Amino acid sequence: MKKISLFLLCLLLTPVGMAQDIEPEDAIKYRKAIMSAIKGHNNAIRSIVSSKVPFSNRLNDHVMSLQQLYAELDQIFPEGSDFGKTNAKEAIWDDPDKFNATIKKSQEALDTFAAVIAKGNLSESASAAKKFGKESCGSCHKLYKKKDN
Amino acid sequence: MYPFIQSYLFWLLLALPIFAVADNSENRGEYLFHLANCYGCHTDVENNGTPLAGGRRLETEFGTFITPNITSDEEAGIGSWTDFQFVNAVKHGIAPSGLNYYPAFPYTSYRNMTVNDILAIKKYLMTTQPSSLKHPDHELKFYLFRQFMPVWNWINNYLQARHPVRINRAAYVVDTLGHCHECHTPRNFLGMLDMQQRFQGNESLKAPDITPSEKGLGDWSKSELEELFTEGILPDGDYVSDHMAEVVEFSTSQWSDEDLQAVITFLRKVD
Repeated sequence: MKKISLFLLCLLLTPVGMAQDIEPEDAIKYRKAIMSAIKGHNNAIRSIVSSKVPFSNRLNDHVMSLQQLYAELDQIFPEGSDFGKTNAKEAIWDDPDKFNATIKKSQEALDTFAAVIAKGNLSESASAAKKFGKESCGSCHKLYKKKDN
Repeated sequence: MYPFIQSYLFWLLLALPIFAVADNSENRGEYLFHLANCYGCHTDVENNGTPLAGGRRLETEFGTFITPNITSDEEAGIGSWTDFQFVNAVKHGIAPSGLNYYPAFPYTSYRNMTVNDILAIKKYLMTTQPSSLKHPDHELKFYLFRQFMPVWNWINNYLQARHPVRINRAAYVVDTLGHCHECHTPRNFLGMLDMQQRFQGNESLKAPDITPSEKGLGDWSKSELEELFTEGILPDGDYVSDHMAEVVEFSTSQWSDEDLQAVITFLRKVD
């Protein structure tokens, strides 16, 4: 019996157990950091495709970073992170299936955009960037983000 | 007999230009419909509602307003409304039943719309798919009654009369059709727009200052404003959210380039 109790105690203290118990404010901070990173790469891409800066050789890097960040989107809205210093709307947790479908559409929009970027045509990329922004960030914010304070 | 003919001639002369111009293409009505942003409020966007069938819940400090069906359905929508009834509703906030609307419906802005434009919008709405959806009553604070609205209108008209209507195309798009005041101008305790603080933002709606001051659009470039209205992008690269995202999608992104440029010039200069 003692052995079983010790085993259960160890199990509770493992890093896996701790990872599942993220404090809501930490989850919100992490989410905001991911969103800021997405915004940063997005801004960089828009500057490049509109020929405001001459770093077209870095375009793929930014798109790949976005793809990695987008892969996390369905994990950064855990239960309990719906209040506090967040502009995320309750609708995310009220209907998670609909929210996950919106995220999936965003990821698909990014894949479509990445395919255009890969062709290397800047003017085509510029109009694709507008479409991508509208179909990913824009459509998600419309439904799931409150206005900033 | 003579006074009757006089009266008849008067109404005929008044009506002639209206109907001569009102018989325009559906595109014009559709464009005005976008400028007036009817879609956003009359569609339950969050719940994938039927277009223009209403049911959208507008949360305000006075309670929750549930928007009505404005499809061409004869019972639930506006299908059976006469032109007069439609104009009376849009310009004066009076329903065909004679009851007053609450100013959550922005008739206080729309009242400066021309009759021709109102009828062009009606003509477009009559081409939309009918929906028989009906909705429950608004969920408002206990002290709100429609019967008070004529008094509210009278006081509001008295106060607004001190602030002359701005007359040019951009002002017509911004103040009248776009009804930007309704969110971006603070309100007094009676819910009336405080025009002394025109466009200085409404904290309770989290609607920002859009005057050309430093607090507002002062440091926005022309291209940043273009990106806002066409794509919903803010200067820091973020995207507008919530209600403003709908305004961009259903209204400002549909503006003609001529209207877009006129509005940008107007917003960067007006006081």
